[in-house]
This record gives sequence, C-alpha cells and structure tokens, in this order.
Amino acid sequence: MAWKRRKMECKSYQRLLHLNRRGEISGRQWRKLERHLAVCGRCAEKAKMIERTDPYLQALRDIEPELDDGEALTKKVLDKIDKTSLGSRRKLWGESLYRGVSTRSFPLLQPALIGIVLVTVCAFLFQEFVILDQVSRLEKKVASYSAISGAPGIGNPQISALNRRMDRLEEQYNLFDRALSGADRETGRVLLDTGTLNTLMSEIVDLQLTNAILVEMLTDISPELGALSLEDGLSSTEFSLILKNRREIINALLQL
Amino acid sequence: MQDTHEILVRSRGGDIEAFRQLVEHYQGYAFALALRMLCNEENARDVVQETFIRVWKHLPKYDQRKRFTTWLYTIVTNLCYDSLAAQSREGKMTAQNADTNCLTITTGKDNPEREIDDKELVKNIGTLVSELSPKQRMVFVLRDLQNLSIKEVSHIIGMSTHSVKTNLYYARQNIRRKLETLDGMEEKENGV
Repeated sequence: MAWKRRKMECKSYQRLLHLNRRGEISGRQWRKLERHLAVCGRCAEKAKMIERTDPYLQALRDIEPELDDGEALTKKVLDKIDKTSLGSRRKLWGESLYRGVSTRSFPLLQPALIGIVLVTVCAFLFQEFVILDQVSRLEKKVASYSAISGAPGIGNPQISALNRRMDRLEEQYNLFDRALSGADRETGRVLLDTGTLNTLMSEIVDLQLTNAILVEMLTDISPELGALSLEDGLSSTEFSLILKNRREIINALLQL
Repeated sequence: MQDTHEILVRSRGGDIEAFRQLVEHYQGYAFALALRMLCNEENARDVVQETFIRVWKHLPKYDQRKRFTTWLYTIVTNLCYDSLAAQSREGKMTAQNADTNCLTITTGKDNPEREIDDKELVKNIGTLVSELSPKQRMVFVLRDLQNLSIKEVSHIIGMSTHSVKTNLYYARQNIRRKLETLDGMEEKENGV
C-alpha cells in the first residue's frame, strides 16, 4: 500500500520535473520537488535524464525556419483575394454586389426584379383605389341609413313632440273604436254610462284641437296628405291613413 | 514597414497596398509556426496563404486591443489543427511523410563536428514532434519552439492553462523518452 502511494507521489513529481521552464510551476512546487529529489533516487535519475535532453530541445527552439520566396507567397495571397472579389467587395461593396449578382450569376435577375417591383406597385395602387371606393360607398350608405332611421332626430324637440302627439292620438282612436264596437247592429245605438260619455266628450274636444294642429302640420309637410278633406276633422279612415304613414311623415319632417 | 497599428487601420479600410505590407512583414512568422506544426513545407505555405485570406476577410472584426501576432497565431494554429486532424483521420500522419528537412539548424556554428551531431539529433526530434497528437504538438510548438508563455498558449488554443500544462507534460515526456532511447542507441553504436 505504501509502495503504491509512493509510486503515485513519484508520478506527480515527475510531472513537475517535465514542467521545468520558468512560469510553469510555482515556487512552492519547486521547493517540494527539490525536497523529494533529495530522498528519491528514482526521481533524481529521471531529473538527470531530463537535464540531458534539455539542450536538444533548446537547439530545436533555436531553429528559425525561413521563408525563401516570400514575395511569391505575398503575390499568391493578393491574387487570391482579388480573384475571390474580396478586395473589390471591401472597396465598392454595393457596385460589386450589384454586378456580381445581377449580371454574372443571374442574368435574368435584373428584369425579374424590375417586374416584381412594378407588379407590387400596381397591385398596391389597385387595392388602394378599390378600398377607397368601397369606403366612400359605405360612408354614403351609413349617412342615408342614419337619415331614414331618424337617428339624428332623436335630440330634435319638434319631432319628439310630434311623436308624443301621435301616440296620444292613437290612444284616443282606440278608445272610440272600443266604444263603437259595442253598438247594436240593427239600430246602430250605443249604450254608454255617464263616466264613459264624459271621457269621450273630453277626448273629442281634445282630439279636435289636436287634429287641427296636426292637419296644419301635415298639410305643410306632405302634399299627398294635403289632398285629404280636413274641414270636418279626420275620419277614422283618414286617421288610419296618417297613422299608417307615420314613419314617412317623420322622414319627410327630417328631410325638411 | 510603417507602424503596425496604422497599417492595420488602413487595411481595415480596404487599402490593399497596406495589406500587402502587412503580409510581407508577418508571413515569415506565420510560416515558421505553420512549418513547425506541420513539418511539411507545402502544407505550411497553403496554411499561410489561407491565414492571410482570413485575416483580410475578418479584419473588421479584429479587436485592436489585442496583439496582432496573437490573433495571427490563433488563425494559423486553428488551420494547422484542422490540417493535422484531417491527416490524422485519414491515417496519413506518419513520421515518414514529415519533411524534417524544414528544420534548418543554426546552432553549433563554432564547432562543425558538433553541428553535424546536432543536425542529426534535431532532425530526430523533428520526427518525434511529428509523432505527437495534434493537441500535444500545438502546445509543444507554441510553448517550446515559439517560446510563448503558458497564458498566451492558452489564449491562442482556447484551452485552460491546466490543460495546456497537462498536454505540455505529455508532449515533453514523449519526446524525452524517445530521445533517451535514441541517445542510448547512439551510445551503444559508439561503443560507450
């Protein structure tokens, strides 16, 4: 066991023996090595062998190989640089690249590139025009839809008042309709209690007043409605007609 | 040559004349390293050529705070490693095809006899170097032949200093062991 350990130690010292040039081992390692050589004959013998061979290595170090045809080698290097277009690339990078790529390697590349650029530009312009046209059409549609749907009239107090008035008229109409539906078919008489009669009478007065205002407005708005006979107030047919055309009347008002 | 920094700036700007000066000045260093690594002159020339093409190509990315030679050696080393690894894969890397004549001795000038001996030994060491694994060879060449510090070697190869030392240890151990054998054989031949 001790023999084995000693052999291992000797191996590590022999490594140090071979690394015997300045800067290869530390001062501490040198001292350890010297101490070991003083007690180990085998390693001391090895150190002597290394000492014997050192001058030969030194002799080899002193040999300085010389290049006898340096000029030819320089020329070769510069020629190769020139041949591989490395030189011109450094100087005229853009020009060389253009020439090298477009004419030497790919003769059809230049017209092909021009064609691609033209096609791209045309496609872009065409797309722009189509899109612009479609957008303007869409804008027009949106504008007309807004006008028809009455969206801009939401905040108009005149139209809101008219709408409320129309609703009120519809209610009154329905009231008369219900009252008349209960009439005797043969005699045509209607039996009403005092409460209903009072309500009807007040509604009639109100209706007549409202009708008069509405008739004036409608006459101003629509020439078609102007053809209606309005002197005796609105008949149920005329009134239905107005209600049916309610949206058109509002649109006409909005257009005005 | 003008100031390296100025030459580099001009080369980065595409000045081919400045780059010529850069190649002329540094190709010797690149060649020495490549030859030491590959031990084959033709391959070393190819590596130097490719190195400077890469330098030209990647000059805009070069961090000027670092030494140019460190960057240059990194490129050379990477190319050499690729070449060695490819040869190793193809099984071509043998001591026989290593061109050890690339090691032209300059030592022992005062003693012709010694010079001959050294020539032979250095040639043998050259053969031994070519037998190392690519990693061991890179570390050995950069540290022991190019005389770079452990830190520089670590930076160039992209290894930790500990790994550099380990590879260096194995490389030196291999070479010294074989050198010892050669030395022993020489002694036997001489009747020592």
